[in-house]
Amino acid sequence: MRRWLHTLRNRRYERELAEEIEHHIDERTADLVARGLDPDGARSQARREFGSVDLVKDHCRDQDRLAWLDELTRNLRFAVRRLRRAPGVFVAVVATLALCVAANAVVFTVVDTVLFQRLPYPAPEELFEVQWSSEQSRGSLRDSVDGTMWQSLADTAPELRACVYSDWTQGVNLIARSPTGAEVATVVERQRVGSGFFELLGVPMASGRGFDIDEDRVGGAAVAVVTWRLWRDRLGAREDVLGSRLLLAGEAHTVVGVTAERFDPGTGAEVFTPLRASREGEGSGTNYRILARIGDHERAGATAALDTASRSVAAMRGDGFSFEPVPLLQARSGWLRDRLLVLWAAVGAVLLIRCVNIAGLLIAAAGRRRQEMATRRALGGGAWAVTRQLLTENLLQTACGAALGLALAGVAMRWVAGWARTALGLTHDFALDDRALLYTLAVALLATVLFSLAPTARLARTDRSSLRQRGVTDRRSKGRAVLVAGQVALGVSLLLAATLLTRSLSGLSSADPGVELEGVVSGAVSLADANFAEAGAVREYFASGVEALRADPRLVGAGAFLSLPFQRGLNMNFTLAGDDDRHLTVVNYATPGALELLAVRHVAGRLIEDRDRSTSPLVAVVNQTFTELHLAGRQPLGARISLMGAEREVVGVVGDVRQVPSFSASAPLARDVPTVYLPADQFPVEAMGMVHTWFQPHWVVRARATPAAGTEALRSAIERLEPVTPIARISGLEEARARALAVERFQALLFAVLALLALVLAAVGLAGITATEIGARRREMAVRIALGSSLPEVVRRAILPILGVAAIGLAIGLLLAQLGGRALRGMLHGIGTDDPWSHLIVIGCLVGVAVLACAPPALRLLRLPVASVLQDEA
Amino acid sequence: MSASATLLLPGTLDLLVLKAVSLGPLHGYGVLLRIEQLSGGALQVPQGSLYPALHRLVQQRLLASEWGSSDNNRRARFYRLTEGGHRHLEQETGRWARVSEGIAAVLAAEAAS
Repeated sequence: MRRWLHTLRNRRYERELAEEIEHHIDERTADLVARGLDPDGARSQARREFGSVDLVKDHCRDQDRLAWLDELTRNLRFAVRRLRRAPGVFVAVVATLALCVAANAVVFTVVDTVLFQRLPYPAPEELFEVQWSSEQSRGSLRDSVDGTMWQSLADTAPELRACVYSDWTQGVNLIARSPTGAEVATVVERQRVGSGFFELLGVPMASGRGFDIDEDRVGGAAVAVVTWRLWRDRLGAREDVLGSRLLLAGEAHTVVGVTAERFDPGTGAEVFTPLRASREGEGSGTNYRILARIGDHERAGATAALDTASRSVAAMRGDGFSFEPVPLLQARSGWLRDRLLVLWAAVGAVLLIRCVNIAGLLIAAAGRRRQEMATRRALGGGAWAVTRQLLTENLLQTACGAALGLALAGVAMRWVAGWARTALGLTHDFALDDRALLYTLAVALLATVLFSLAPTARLARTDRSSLRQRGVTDRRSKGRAVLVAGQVALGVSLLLAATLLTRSLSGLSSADPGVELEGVVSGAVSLADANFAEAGAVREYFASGVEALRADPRLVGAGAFLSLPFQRGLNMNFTLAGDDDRHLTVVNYATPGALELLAVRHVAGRLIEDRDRSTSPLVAVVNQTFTELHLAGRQPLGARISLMGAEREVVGVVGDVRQVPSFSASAPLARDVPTVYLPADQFPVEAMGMVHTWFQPHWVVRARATPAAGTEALRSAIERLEPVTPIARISGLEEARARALAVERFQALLFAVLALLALVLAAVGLAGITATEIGARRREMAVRIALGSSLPEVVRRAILPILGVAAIGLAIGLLLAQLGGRALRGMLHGIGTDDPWSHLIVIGCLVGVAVLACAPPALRLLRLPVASVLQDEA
Repeated sequence: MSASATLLLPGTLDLLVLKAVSLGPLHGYGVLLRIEQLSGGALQVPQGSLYPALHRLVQQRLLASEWGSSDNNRRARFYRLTEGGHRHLEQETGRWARVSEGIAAVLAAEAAS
């Protein structure tokens, strides 16, 4: 330590010290010479009189040593010595702090990145999404518009800097020349955007340009913009890429632009083509989004322009239609906002528990160390010196905990970021940045220093008289009981939230899917391709594919669907024969035998068969929810429905299949979605192209043995069948279900981790208070035992108050959860916040934890050396 | 140094140094000379203790130090009294006066007859 201090002192200090002493000796020598001594004799006498130069220097250094640094090192050494003596406590404190810090750092990074940080575009505060409301939507905003709304806006408000785009991406086939010269077909994510899209977002292109107005018209030139990454990875990073031809979706496209390396459209798209918005087809439904850039000085003009446009659309629709600009950041992350805020609150609650825990531990330590402190005070330690010593200990723990926590957060962040990307589709660049570091540091400091100040200050005030009062419990334990009850309460409400979310999730994932998942493997293909422009080509493709797959001995059967269970389906309006009311239903298509392959329950009539060709009578199979909603009180078989411009007969009824509801969304997966299945051959030709730009149909096979064999069989058969139509996203249906519940799983798991942490912290608090309580009452217990109380009676007396504290905490926690439950309500499916099972589980867990926490100190009581305790403290 | 010079009483060095410096900034050797001169050679400052005392007083903010040049144009560290040093010197001078009066009174007492 001494050497350390020496190196700390700078060279200049040493030089000046030497110079000062040398000057003294020189002056003295000169005086002695003036008195008549010869110079050599004068110098040696001056040195003699001065004494040891080294000793004087040492004494000077002692005086100059930085007083506070010295004290700090002394305190640190003392703290390390103390911590070495009680490593268990140190490890517990550091580990819990590290977990808290890690959880806070990770959640803060996610919240900050998704909700608060600026979008990765220049002047992002100017970017808006134009949403709308009408009388029908009762004030709630709709984010998607149809072609008519967009055209009205573009026509009536040409001065508004706005563009239209689709936020859906779909896999399309890209055929590119690999570096070896071979042509390789892959599926890339394609997004369709209007002219002005890239210019409005404002990120300059790496090269080339966005789409112009002529290219964005029906019949315009086939052009594409590729992302920097696609250009580098798939197009060989060719310098002459602009103007080159790209075979995309079976059609030659001219590359007109490459986006900047850092450009993030927020959708994961790899290639862009013009949207070509219209009022017909796709544009007859709300399938578009409007992006606008409104500068500060343009606000008034934009509001007026939107008002004019709103009036013109309202006049057409007659329903109080109104456009509303919503900041783009909010529009993009709105669906996650509540979940993230709830998560942030949860992680904050854990932190609060941890703070309370520290305060409790310190109060306990204060009790145990009163003697030591009183001695130190008696020996002349100032109150602040003693406080500083305690703070040093806390700071040491904070530093260790924060460092460990950040390391942990770094690891966890990578994992959470990967998950957010694949499961939640968040394309943000999650990283622990300086904002997160600052926040975490503040959090760690708050957690320790602020909450330890009060107990330490109180401890430092310990006066000398407490030297005499050994082992006396005081009112402080009451304050501590309140703290412990508080942390139990917070822990209980977190645990209840986690239990509810987990039970909601397990309800969703274990619920009968309506199909048999085992051995089913599926893969998506893109039929939005010039090769499939003719309906005949699609029919031919399905027929030969089914034939090839059925011939494979590894497979039980094969088929194709437009959309699969656990996915979002296609919405279409239909009317019942003899009725003009339009209703909404999910429409799917299936090849003959495909419904049987998934083992969808056969309720009535027949399923789709080989005889249902394009030329044969038009038929449909509906699900039970459809019959209940739309054919109630009628014989469903033989009912006639009019769909996509053609009337067809209902020939069969099947059971409901769990899917992502695309309208009237209530749960992430639902069975009560009305669905119509059409024979794939009979799907209307006019709608085929449009539907295939939105949806990638899926091949489905059931493997005889392992799913791996199914995967291999599916890939080889389909790619041999049509080499330019690669199969993508091959996975089991189980995985598809997991994907559909990713958000719920993400949330439930994070809550479970936090609740576990909270429970451990609460247990530490309970164990701590039990130990102190029993420690302080050893003498009383010993007297009771000596006077003949039975041991169980003594133990009961010792732990009953603790269980009482836990019970009070439990009651408050359940009450808190009721108050906070409102925030969770929208995230629970199939159960309410008053779910009795969840409450029972929480109560059970808490009783278990409380008993476990106070058992060890209570058991130590059984081995209480009564005689020696009585002797010692008499 | 004359053989008749008296060693300082413990604890008085700081006071003497402060007084010496209060008359004007001095370097270390100058402090030594001034104390000897003011005491008429009666007090001998131990040279080894002078510098630690000076550094201690700087650390206590009673003195401030800066580098300047001495009479023979050499670089030397000069000490001067700070505001706090002035106050401290006044207090200590008063205390010293009371103590020495007291001691003198005690020593002057004669046996009652």
